[in-house]
Amino acid sequence: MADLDVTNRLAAPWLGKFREEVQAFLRAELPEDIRLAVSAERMDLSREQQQRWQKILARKGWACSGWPRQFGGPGWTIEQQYIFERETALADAPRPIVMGVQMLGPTLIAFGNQAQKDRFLPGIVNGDQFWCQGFSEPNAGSDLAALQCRAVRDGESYVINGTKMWTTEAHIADWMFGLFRTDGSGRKQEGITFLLIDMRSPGITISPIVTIDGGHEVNQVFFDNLRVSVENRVGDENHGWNIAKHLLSLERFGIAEVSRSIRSLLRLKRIATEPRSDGGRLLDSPWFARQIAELEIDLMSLELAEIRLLFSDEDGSEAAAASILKVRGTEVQQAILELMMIALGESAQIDPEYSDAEGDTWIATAYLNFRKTSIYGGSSEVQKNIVSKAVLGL
Amino acid sequence: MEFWLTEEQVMFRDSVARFLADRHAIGDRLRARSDAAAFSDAEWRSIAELGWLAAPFPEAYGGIGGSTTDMALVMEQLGRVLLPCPYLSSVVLGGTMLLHCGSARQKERFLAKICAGEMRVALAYAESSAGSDLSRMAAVARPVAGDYEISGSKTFVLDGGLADCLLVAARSADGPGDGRLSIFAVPRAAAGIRVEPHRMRDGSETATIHFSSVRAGPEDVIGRPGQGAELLGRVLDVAAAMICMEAVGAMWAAYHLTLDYMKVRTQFGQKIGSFQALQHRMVDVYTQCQMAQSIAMGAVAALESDDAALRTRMCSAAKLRVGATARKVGEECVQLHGGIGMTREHPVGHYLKRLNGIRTSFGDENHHLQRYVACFDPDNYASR
Repeated sequence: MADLDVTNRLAAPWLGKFREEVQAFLRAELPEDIRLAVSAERMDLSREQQQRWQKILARKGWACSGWPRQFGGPGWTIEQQYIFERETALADAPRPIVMGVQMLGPTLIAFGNQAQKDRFLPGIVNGDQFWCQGFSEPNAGSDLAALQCRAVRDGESYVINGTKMWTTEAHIADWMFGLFRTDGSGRKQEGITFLLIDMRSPGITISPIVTIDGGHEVNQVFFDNLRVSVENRVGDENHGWNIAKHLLSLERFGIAEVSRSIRSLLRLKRIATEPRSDGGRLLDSPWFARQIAELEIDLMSLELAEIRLLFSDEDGSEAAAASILKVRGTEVQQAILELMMIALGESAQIDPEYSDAEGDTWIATAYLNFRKTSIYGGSSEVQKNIVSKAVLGL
Repeated sequence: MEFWLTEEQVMFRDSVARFLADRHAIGDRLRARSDAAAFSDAEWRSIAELGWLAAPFPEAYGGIGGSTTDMALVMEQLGRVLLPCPYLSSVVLGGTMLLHCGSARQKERFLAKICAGEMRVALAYAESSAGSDLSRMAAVARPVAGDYEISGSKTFVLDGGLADCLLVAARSADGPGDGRLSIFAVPRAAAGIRVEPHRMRDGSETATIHFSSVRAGPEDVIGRPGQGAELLGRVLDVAAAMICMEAVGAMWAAYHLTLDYMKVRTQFGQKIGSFQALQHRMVDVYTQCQMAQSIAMGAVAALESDDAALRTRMCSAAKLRVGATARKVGEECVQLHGGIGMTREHPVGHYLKRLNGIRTSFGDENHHLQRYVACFDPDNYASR
């Protein structure tokens, strides 16, 4: 039994064969250097690694697992997508490319015009074009609609001045999709426009932001009289907010990172059962055994909740489901990494930037890096606000 | 559970919910405090007529041909209204024991009557010195002229005072360990049985039952002699999963009570539900209810599995998680009500009491943690 499939939705023989096909593909095609990076809980693969893997997927026809066939996706059922996500995680294959594959692609499919679809979707599928997301600003984080970066219409162009903050992978991206203030007179959610920006245009400065794990994933991006053609506008002027809301709701699948956490938990169990220098195992400590057991049960609860809520046919449960799955999912994920870090002891705390100690430093890097998951994509507190309003009616 | 229920199961659940909503507001549990008869025979007969008792059992033995899922649906609904009735003792414990382990004759003899509401059964296994540790059980069944004579004392026998028939666990031969345990069915009115009933904080009925040379024949042994520990293991797994479903029902009910209150209670000139600190706590309660429901449903689904280790793992996982969650949800709901939540007249505290009762029934968190860790598989995740 491969999942806690209490629904029997994944039990059909053809899905079993599909699962085996995915496993065989991953065994044969996943490059070792990429597998190793992912197995060290790294989210920040290099552009070259991401591109190489995307092209391997594209050759198989499995790039963009959630997309319909007509746009270059495999056209899978939700059950197939679920199995594919689980198996790629268990094999330590990369997560899907978030900005292009998971966010912009489906948004263009829903809101883009034909020319935009023709121009941008193939580059996302075959991994040639990398995207970044220009949403947050220094004074518009959780309160995204407070964004101020201005785009002023000038003939057939918009002229952009201002700044975007926390822009993941801006330094390796070819394009940015972003939200810009085109009208400041009404409600803050009105007057926002969704634009696509060529990152090689003149007028863009990218300033790296190093995070507490020592990594460079995020940036601040400055715009100085940047010109963007009107044909790069998605949807109507001043109607970008609804597109953004739709885009942010797309991340339903795997938002709880259950599959990744299962893989991490297995790593933790491996560490806990290895013989230590004193001959004993960490798992023999009652405190540790209890921590692992409770985490595993938390994860099982989460997995079952995800199956219940995502496969549910009930209307209206989806938005709430995504919010509570994200809150609980990141809590469990962070707790697993934390326990793994404790398991590896002081050697995990050596700073790899200043000392030549490969060993166990990866886990503290991952632990620190993953503190972001309960902050980005709508912080846990914002998710609770959403549930309070949408489900509890408070 | 909603989305994998069959249409019949949804209709059954809704009919249970409607009946309970019409007839058994939470008030019954409150009245039970002062009323000597917390539960009436007439009620039991109506419940039997509605088919709740027969639902999970095969037609051959007077059942309706459903499954443990139907049992779980009734438990969840009973939890919502805190109805005191011997469903858990008679149908879940007694019925399951007889269904899985009884001979064809015993099923005919007992199960049909349980289904019809004509016989109530209680399971007597825990002892004051052994708790639920079967290996330390002291009650004995001495072979005497082809029969047995049962002696010993059992504690916290759920609905022991309401039962017509007791299923008693006792060692049927000398020797240590739990390998020689057997289960005997004896009438509660049999000579040598003395019952001391207790009303629990949560309104449920338990009893200490003393057995003094109580006579039982070979035909009264459930399953085979010496099979008792195995049978109890199976039945107590079912009990754990089912009481988790009751907890889920009670948690949701407490959640809804509290949410309603937050929308009407005004302080500082505004509804208390408008305060973010309280909103976030209530979202946590909601999330905990969802997680508890998910793992409880996982345990119910696992009961259908032929893999005994999987059943045990899932039931212990559920009881451990639901137990801890039940306390948290119950306490939060009282806290968010403020002073009114402390009063005996208000229902919310009664949910807290039942949730705490559930927590300690059929193994507390410590018990199930040990059980879970014992079958912990270092190379695999959960059911893999």
